Amino acid sequence: MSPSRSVGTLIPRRSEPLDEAGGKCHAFRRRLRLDEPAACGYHLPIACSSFGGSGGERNFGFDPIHGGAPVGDDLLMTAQRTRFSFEADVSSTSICDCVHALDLPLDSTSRNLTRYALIELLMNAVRASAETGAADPVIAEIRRDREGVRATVTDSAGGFDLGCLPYDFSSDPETVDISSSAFEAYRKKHDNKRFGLGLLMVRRAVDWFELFFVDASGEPAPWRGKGSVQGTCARFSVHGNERAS
Amino acid sequence: MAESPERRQAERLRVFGRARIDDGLLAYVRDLSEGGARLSVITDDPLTPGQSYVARVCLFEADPVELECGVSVVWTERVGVFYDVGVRFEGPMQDALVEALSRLERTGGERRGEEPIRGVRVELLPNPES
Repeated sequence: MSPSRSVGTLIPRRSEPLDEAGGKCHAFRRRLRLDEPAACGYHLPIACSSFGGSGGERNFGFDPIHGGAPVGDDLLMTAQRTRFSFEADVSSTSICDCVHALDLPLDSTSRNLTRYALIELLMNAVRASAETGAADPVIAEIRRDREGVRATVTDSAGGFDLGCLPYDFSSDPETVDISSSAFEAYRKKHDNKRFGLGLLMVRRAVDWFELFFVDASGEPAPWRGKGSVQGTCARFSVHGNERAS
Repeated sequence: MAESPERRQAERLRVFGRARIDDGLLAYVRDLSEGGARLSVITDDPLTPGQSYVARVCLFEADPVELECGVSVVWTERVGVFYDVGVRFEGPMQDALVEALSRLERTGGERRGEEPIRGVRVELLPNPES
């Protein structure tokens, strides 16, 4: 079967409230509206088992109760690789929704940390894109494999000076003192709207992380000041036992 | 480990924000509802259920939302480098919170019915080695 890609938009759809665990909880169903024919059986090995035809709208699998807790708003997006493009004006709520729409084959803790890392990196990238007026969208690619999940977030926001962070980025993240005066000064400088902790906590949360700058062709490029690079690329991976929880 | 316990019955909006708790602990705001919030607190020590704190919350939207409110801890659970905490807002609903929830309702994809989530495209791809 052809490994052609499927492109579309996520369409949220509110379902009927479920009466679960003694109270009402709302569950949501999302659909992926495909712009192009989908080689479903190839790259949607689970969700597409109930699909048919090609193109058009597809209802994803829906699992209103998982592990005894209501997680009905989780879309079972089980593609091996999922690539999101986020415009600079996308809302944080939409970013969170998209990240939570991913079915991550990890145990509960690893899944939560992966979501956190993705949202943190995406928010950094989208915010930088908005601030710099970047023309290109932020691209996030999430890949599932037997090891766990690997993700890449790339923006075209011109990079940034790692020296402006309130700690030495090259140091072991576990040794950084987040109660230091440098962090306090950073928070004060940014009126407590930025903590300077995002990348640090992502590095602490995931199993592997790297960050580098890229040139216009997407190749790694050294930071030599403003205008020297096209954007930033952050990669990480999280390992975890699938559905171990 | 089981999924984290959730006590709130009100609909929760997934958000991205920061919070300072009692001018000391730092936390991420994960979701928000009329009754409370879920926070990921950067700490090695769990917060005590029933304990009350003052939280200064900043939500990052096009128009950032800032509010200060009393919260009480309902549950806590270790999640990797964080302690996730469910908190209940104390006292009457603040206008800033009502406004923030209303605004998030308007911008949140789920609340717009059949409209695609704005500003997002998604592609589904095979792994290269498939």
